[in-house]
Amino acid sequence: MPVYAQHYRRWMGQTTPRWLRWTVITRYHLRQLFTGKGRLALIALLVLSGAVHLTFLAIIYILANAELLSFLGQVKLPEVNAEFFIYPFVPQGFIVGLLTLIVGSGLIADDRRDNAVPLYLSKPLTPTEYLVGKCGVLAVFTLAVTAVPVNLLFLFEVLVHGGRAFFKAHWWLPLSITSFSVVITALCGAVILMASSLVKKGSLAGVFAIGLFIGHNVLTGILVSSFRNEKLMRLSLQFDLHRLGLWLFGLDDSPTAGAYPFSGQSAGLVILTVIVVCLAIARWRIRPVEVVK
Amino acid sequence: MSAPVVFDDVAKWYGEVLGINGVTAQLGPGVTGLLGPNGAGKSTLLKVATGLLRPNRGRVEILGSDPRRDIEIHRRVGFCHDGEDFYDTLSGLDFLRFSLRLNGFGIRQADQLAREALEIVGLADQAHKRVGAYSKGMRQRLKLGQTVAHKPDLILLDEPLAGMDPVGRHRTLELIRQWGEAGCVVVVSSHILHEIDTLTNNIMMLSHGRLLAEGDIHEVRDLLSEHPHQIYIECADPRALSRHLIALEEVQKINFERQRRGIMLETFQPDLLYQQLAKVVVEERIEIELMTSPDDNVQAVFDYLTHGRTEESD
Repeated sequence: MPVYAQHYRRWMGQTTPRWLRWTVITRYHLRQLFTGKGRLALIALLVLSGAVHLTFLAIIYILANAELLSFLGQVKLPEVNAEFFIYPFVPQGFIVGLLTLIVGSGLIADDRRDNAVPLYLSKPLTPTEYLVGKCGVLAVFTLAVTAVPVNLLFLFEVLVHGGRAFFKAHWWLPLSITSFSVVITALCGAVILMASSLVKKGSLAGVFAIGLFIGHNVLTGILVSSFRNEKLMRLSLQFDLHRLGLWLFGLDDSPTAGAYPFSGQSAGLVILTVIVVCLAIARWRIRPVEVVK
Repeated sequence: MSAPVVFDDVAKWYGEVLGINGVTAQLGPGVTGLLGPNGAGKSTLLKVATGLLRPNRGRVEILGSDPRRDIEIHRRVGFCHDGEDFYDTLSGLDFLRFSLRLNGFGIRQADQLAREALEIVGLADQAHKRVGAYSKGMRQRLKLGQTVAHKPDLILLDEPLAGMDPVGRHRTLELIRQWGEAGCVVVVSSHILHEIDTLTNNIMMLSHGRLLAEGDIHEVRDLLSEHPHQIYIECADPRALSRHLIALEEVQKINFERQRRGIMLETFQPDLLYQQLAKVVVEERIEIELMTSPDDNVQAVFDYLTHGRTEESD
């Protein structure tokens, strides 16, 4: 009978808390993105996003300065109210879409291509934590171009233009801005992660996601005109997102919201369903072992 | 107290394809060789042991826990799987740091342990080189580093010597032996009987997903005398290499593979030949691109064992 020496000792030191483990994946990918080939495109998009926010910042600054306002003369500037803060989301939606494609399309597909999923799942990490870590990468970018700058815009308005009166009347706006940003992040993240989990090539996942976006909008248009039922517009995630945004920003009574034949809550329900279904598919696709039949 | 690794009537099948069936075994400290031809179910068994695959039937227990339920047990397990799980843009050091961070180590600890692991597997001088620029053998060694960097109690190695150059191979065999002697539970899978033979006497033989034999390797070793061990080598100048090898008395036969830049050696003394080979490679500065061993000889032994058994049962 062999006798084995017992001088081998496993690591007995402290380890990081389990609930923080997924952040390793997020941080690793962020680092990779800013050192990889696509970093110029990312930086360009972030600069473009900053330029959009600077425009809104300039509007608030001009409104706060009577001399500048009189210098502009006939130029009509929008009033700063709840609706003003939903405007930045329109151009940012486009930027978020592009960021999602650049950042998200390879998140799972590349791991599947490199057969790297077992590397993660043979560690003390569950598939759900793996997915959360990947979502975290997207969240950093999408929240950086939505929640953070628009909340700063709100702060700027309170400090420079509207003052305490504006804050008292619109104290809930930061919540609306943040929750709308989170919904956009979750929706874009869920769709791209699902697409990424279904293929083994990042570019294919991107094409698949674009196809889904265009395809479902075209299908909605066909269904609405075929059945002459405008309520079917809620099948378009673009409309749902806009309608939900109006509800979250307290603009349910606005003419824009009135043009929609469905409520903000029902739009939210559709979006929630899509997020849950997409994440469930992505979770199901994260398998430690690929079975080749 | 139960053994560190327990398989109790474990079965796993992929649709209609059988992976493993009715495997019952207990593995203790030291090195255990998991031997079987390609497709025998070795990788499946190791993946079931790590919890990466859920068995369709039976019970698996590692270090007293169910690997699929107790996720924290993975911190005490090092698994070197057969895939190419690398990020080519990372350096070897960064890859190990990342792997250690996933294991729950802090930044400083991860850095310290990653450097230690690179030292152990002989890649310390290549720490900052991109993994993409590593040779096949270096990647294998990095995989080994990833497996043991977090100081696990249970080490599962799936074909760890595949594609390694003679020097790396020798070093790896030595390391595996050391881990086993130090009290770790080490399971090494291979389709090459000679590799397992040099590591341990304790083997498990799998064939067609079933546990064919378990115990001492000596009885099987004798069967090898009828079947020469084959080594396939690819390098830039196979003719030059063969000129040096043909002079060795350990070499029985050399065949040139015309389709590729490779030669197939046959020997009845693989131990000695591997030593001589390492010497030739170092002295003549020949860069080996690929070195592997087809499973013809082990397949022959398995055929003999399974055929013999069938006849006995008949």
